Amino acid sequence: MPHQDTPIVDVIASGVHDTKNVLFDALMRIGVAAHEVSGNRRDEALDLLKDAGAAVEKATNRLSTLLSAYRLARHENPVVLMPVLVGDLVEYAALRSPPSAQDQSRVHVVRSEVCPDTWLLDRELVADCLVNATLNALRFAVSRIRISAAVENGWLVIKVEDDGPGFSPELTSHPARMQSGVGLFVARRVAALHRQHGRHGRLILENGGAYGGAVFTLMLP
Amino acid sequence: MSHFFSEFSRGDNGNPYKSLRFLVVEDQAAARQTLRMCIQSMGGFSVDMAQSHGEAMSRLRNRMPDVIICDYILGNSRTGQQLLEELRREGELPHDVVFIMVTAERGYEQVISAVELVPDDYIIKPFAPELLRTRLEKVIRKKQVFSRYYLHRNSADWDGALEELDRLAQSPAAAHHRYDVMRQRADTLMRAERHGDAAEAYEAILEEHPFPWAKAGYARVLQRSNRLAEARALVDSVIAQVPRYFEAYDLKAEICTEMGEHGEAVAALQTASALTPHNWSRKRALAVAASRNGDVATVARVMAEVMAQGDLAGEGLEAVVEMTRCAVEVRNHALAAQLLAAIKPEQLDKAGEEIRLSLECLTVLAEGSAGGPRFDRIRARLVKMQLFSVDGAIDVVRAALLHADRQLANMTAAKVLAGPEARRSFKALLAVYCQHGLEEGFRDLQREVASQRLMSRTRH
Repeated sequence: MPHQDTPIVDVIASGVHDTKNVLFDALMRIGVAAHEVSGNRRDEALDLLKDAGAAVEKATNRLSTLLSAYRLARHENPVVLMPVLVGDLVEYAALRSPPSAQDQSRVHVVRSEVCPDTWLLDRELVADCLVNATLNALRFAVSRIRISAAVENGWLVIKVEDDGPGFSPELTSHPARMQSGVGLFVARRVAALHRQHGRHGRLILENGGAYGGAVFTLMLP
Repeated sequence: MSHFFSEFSRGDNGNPYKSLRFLVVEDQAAARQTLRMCIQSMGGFSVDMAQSHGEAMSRLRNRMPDVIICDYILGNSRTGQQLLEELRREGELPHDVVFIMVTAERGYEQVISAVELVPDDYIIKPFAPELLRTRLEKVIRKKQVFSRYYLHRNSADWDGALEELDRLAQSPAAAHHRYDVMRQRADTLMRAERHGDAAEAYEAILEEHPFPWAKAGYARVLQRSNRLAEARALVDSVIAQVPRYFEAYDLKAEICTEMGEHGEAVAALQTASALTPHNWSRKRALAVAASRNGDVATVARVMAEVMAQGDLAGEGLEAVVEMTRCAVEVRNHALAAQLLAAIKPEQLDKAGEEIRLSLECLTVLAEGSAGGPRFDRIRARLVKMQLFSVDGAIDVVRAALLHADRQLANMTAAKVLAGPEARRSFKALLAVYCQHGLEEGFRDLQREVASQRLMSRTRH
């Protein structure tokens, strides 16, 4: 892709801006929570602190995604393949994408029975991708999200599905041109850098799936 | 197996962490406090802290905790990985102690995916307390699965360990740990000196993925099977794949030394040493390699660095012997004498005859012409001594030639030249003979040994 490095710099800058907003949100909640505690409204304070924690997790993840994007844009290969238990990976990603109190009251997140296999993958980078996909699904889902992992024809297939409006047609029909966000840029590159036995991984964005909304699929060899 | 596994399973009023003793190793005060709070929020009660590599070592030696949470960057150019490697190599880290590395550097994954000595797990900062709890729990469960294997391994019962690994390979409880089983099996086969089987085990792993640690393990098997050229090519490919895999440079140096290519050994150790300036055992290895290569200037420079670091008291007698030998090599007899004088009588009492004789020979050399009477006193013991290491034998040859005892020198040199390490020692022996203007004599000796070897081959 020509001119790839120029737009990614802009993408990274906008990601930094978003992250600043997320941290601002967390800071506000922590401040208000402190006030509520002094006013003896403990339950409200606890909710605010929980949300602030979720926001900080989100900001942390964005920052590491931004750093990955930076390294990828410099044509470094940060992918390190190690044996990882797929169930642990999905649990890890879930721990790092806790829904806020508000999301929790609206959306039900299901983790389907995951395959018990060990897979050679980059635990941190693949978890980053799943966290991004989950946080994205939390924004758009109406009421349901499903995270699943299975082995199909020698590929590890990890899906994040929701019942929201789905990806825009531009994203699903021209994935190669898609640079709408740092998360998708990183996910696509990370998938492609998973190489095993002459095959490389890929990212598939489509609509439909189990819940009729967006389907984010990582396929790793 | 340690008490804490059973206690962990049983729980302590629903809090399995209360009975565990934690050690946090972290050079930054604020981060140390955060980690302590994190452990306490999980229910941990006993949390000890160390702020440096040295402090961690002394605390660990004083009282071994159940769980070590160690930051990768420890300040003063030291890393948590160095601490871990030292502990594992010296056998100071029991298999049932949990070691978790904490790092802000994603680059650490490159290291951990490569090296042979790895922590039980690692966590990338920042992280929530819940993640530490989850990881710790998984590590402990895994240690429970492997507990019988460790028991066999710790008592060097290789057959028992391999049987247990075979059992685990079939067990659904260990299905999650398939790669660990394969890795431990290859490692155990090598320790059991079943080199053919170990080679097959590494080949099977490498068929799945070219893990650098498996390549290095395979290279080690090739080295021990005396397939040195193949071993070296493989270890070169490991270094090209992961330039920060420092143990691979050590292995390369060992292989090159055995091939008699001392210059290459020096180059490998110099590269690794420049990147790990506080690794003193590697520095010592560099001094030794340089001395074998006749590179007096490098020996002197590295020796000065090693000595500036402090005394060698805590390093064991072998290190003292090595460094004294290097001091003799660069003709710094005062330094050699100083090193020899610092040896404690109780250290000598525990040493074997070979080390004691090496020290005697080095003393003779350090004393120069005044060492005659000492040499005469130990001569009978030197003649009787059968099992000399190459370096020990060279000490004897040096001492003998210094006191014009060509008979003992030739007898000792012939033993080495007829042995498996002839190639490694040839250059060094030649240099010693040349120093005394005896090159012709050495060539004669070499021819004699070669023809004897030929005769014994035809006879068989």
